[in-house]
Amino acid sequence: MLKNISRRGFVTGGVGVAAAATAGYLGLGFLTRVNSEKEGATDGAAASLCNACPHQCGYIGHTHYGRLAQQIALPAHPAAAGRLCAKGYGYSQIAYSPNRLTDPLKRNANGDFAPISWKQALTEIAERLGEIDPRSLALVHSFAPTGAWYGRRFLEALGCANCYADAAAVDLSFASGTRQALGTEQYEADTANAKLTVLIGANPAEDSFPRMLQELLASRQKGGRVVVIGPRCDRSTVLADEWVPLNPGTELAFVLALANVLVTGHHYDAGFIERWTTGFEDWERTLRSYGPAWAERICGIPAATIARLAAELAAAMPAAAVIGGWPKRAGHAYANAGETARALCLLNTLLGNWNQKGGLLLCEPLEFGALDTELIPPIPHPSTRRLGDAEYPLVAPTSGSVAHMVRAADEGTLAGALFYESDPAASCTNTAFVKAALRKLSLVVAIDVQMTETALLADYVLPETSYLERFEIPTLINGKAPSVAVSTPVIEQRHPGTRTADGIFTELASLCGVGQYFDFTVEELASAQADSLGLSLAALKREGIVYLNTTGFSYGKLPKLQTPSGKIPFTSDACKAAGYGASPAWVEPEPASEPSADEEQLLLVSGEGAVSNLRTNDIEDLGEITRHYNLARAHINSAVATRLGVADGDEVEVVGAGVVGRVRAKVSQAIHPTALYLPSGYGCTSPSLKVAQGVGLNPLDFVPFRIEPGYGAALTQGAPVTVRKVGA
Amino acid sequence: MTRYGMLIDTTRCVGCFACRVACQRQNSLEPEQGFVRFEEREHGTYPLVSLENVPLQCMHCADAPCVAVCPTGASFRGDGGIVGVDPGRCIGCKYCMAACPYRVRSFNETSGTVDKCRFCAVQTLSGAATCTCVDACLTNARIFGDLDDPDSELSRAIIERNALPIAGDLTQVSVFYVR
Repeated sequence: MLKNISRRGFVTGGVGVAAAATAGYLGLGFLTRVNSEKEGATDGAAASLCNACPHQCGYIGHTHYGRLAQQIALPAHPAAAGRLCAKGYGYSQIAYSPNRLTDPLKRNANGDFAPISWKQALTEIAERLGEIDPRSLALVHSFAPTGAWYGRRFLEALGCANCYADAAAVDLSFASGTRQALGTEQYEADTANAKLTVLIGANPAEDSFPRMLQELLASRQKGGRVVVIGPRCDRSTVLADEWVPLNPGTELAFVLALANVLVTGHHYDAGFIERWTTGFEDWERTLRSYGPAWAERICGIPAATIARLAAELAAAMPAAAVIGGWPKRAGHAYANAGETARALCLLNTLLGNWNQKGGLLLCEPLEFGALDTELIPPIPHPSTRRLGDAEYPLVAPTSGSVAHMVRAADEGTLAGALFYESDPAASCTNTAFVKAALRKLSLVVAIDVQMTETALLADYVLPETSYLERFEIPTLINGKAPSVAVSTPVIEQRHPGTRTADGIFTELASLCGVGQYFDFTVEELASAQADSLGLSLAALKREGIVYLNTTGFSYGKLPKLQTPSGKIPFTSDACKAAGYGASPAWVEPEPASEPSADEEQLLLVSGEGAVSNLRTNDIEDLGEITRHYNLARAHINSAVATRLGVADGDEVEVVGAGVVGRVRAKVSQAIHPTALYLPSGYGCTSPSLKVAQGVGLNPLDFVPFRIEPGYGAALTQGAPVTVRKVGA
Repeated sequence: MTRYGMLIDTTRCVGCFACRVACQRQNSLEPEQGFVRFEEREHGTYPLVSLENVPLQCMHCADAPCVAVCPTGASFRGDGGIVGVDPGRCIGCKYCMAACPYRVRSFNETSGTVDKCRFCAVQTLSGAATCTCVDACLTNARIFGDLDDPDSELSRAIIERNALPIAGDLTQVSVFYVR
């Protein structure tokens, strides 16, 4: 908790100073300013945060005659670093999409949706919520701060603890495993100053992390090396010196073997381990079984390569790091993903690179200060635990296990669910299982801008204003540049029938008899949050982002760790109790699958492509890129394709989890022979999403429903599939 | 004289499409109208593989085939060596699209005219030192500047990094590639 935060001074780059922000934008900002002087009220500008992915990159939206004309990324925004990705430019067009939801919808007796009034929708929802035991309700929300805050508060007011963050679908294992090692769910990398960066699964070019790309470039310009480990030679490998392929899901074996080489050769930072850690001897013993030759048999990386990379890390430490990046893909969504994340933290600990220049950074956590309790009265904590927290004791508290929520729906423990900008029917786990589970609920409410797969299953669909049209409460940005950002309306609301999350939840609360907890406006809430940081909301809205007067980290000094010992533990009692080793040991990525007698099986890996995720897949500009460049194709190794008689561009059948799907094949040298890559963000079935519907496949159609023991994440990677040429 | 040009470093291009979409939004283009077109190549054999992305756009040729074949004079080479299309004169015959060896001209179905990269002429001719695609590039793969100024960042980078036209001296281009 930070105290005495005050303004360090606004960062240039906001609305008022766009012209002077950086030399790179001088011309654009200058022209905009000239135009606005010439044309008076025709032009405007407002600070916004992109809503296409959890990075929420900041930009100034410039308008011309009320329409978004230009997006100028904020140089000061820690994720954007002055750039937006293709998805960010494209997703602004959601506001203008003809496929948006514009009126509340209710499912009628024959399963179709019919428009109804807001009054009818909210009254009926409130009535039906009243019939459900609050302990059997759940909310899954997105990263958008207003909806998450109001949604959680609404459920708490009803006495319900079952709130889940949708980001869990991608990040849960990583956040949870990291927490076991470091007492926090996240850390940063000082990549710009690194001599060696080993990326395991991180793909900033396609997961679209502008600052990370900039940092990789900066590192290379100073002579740093970049190595990418993963089953696919993805677009980020362009910036790497070396791509090292491995069997899908075996990242843990590689990490353990690197640690083995460092420990057996005494190439670790003994001073750091002495001062900052506990339980090293335990991992040292565990690691003895995991030499490079052992790892080669599992992950397929030659033992000599593992030994060489370990030696390179030792030579470069502490300005070296092995990182997963965002979304934390290091072997994510396999049955060993949480332990991979934990082992990764401990491998870096051997390098003594925490809060060292060029290493990894543990930053002070940020929180808002206490809010005015007269305005925003505290709510008694629900008496019961969140569903899944007992079954999955290692789960990251900020997220919870969405997969368990789905199982609770299937098993009847859950009766009703609200989905705020979240789409587990497309993004959580086996899609058929999720859909069947949600159909068992007596009430499903979806709040979204478009008709998602989850909304298709809802009893009520509530249309939301798009991010470009709405105000969002401030977001704290942890990390190297501790800051607070806010998103303001860039354009006028386009559809009178849409509402914002604060309005929806406030009225629902009133109708449910808990309105006393919502007797304030969203502006008042935002103002109270800004006040608690010593900031003025007006200034924050004008600038878009403000750096807080606190150091995120200091080189050579670790913040107070929230682990049981206050140090970095090589062993975890909680992990041991959950059935893992006290210190990280090898865990199989999959329960052994039934080998198919007659057909060659590949392991299905997925991940975002350059232009598509589940939010951006219906954007016309981006859909056209997918179509023109055939980006929805399944990638298959050339040698395997030859064996299967599949040529580049052939239509193939993918079979997995009892589902058959057809897609074109991209025959490639740039993928591991045991892997089949399907880009995620495709395979939309929603008829109203006319750009996205029927394009590509959703990889989650082909994975069985399984949950990672202890950690609670859905296991969505590495499912066995077969591939055959259509018509062969 | 000012002669605008660009360097594109394909060793940095990750093929993320940010330049293309930024350009489309900036210039209010149709979804099908990409002024930047990508060629993607895989080099090598598994596991020794690398990817190469080559973004192509109007090369603003001194010897521009599109200008030569245009029957109405709509395609022209103007100030700063920027090749432009005058939509008022364009009859949409697409001769220029067929003549362009780089296939970087696109047809606007709404207006019935041909369009292509303008080197952000409105802002560059007003003195701005950059184009939208240059600003947008996530990996700083692009440099824009004056080819006739030997001290410009662009001119120096072309020499230092041995940047070359994509197709030799075919059309005397203004866009140079590091590969």
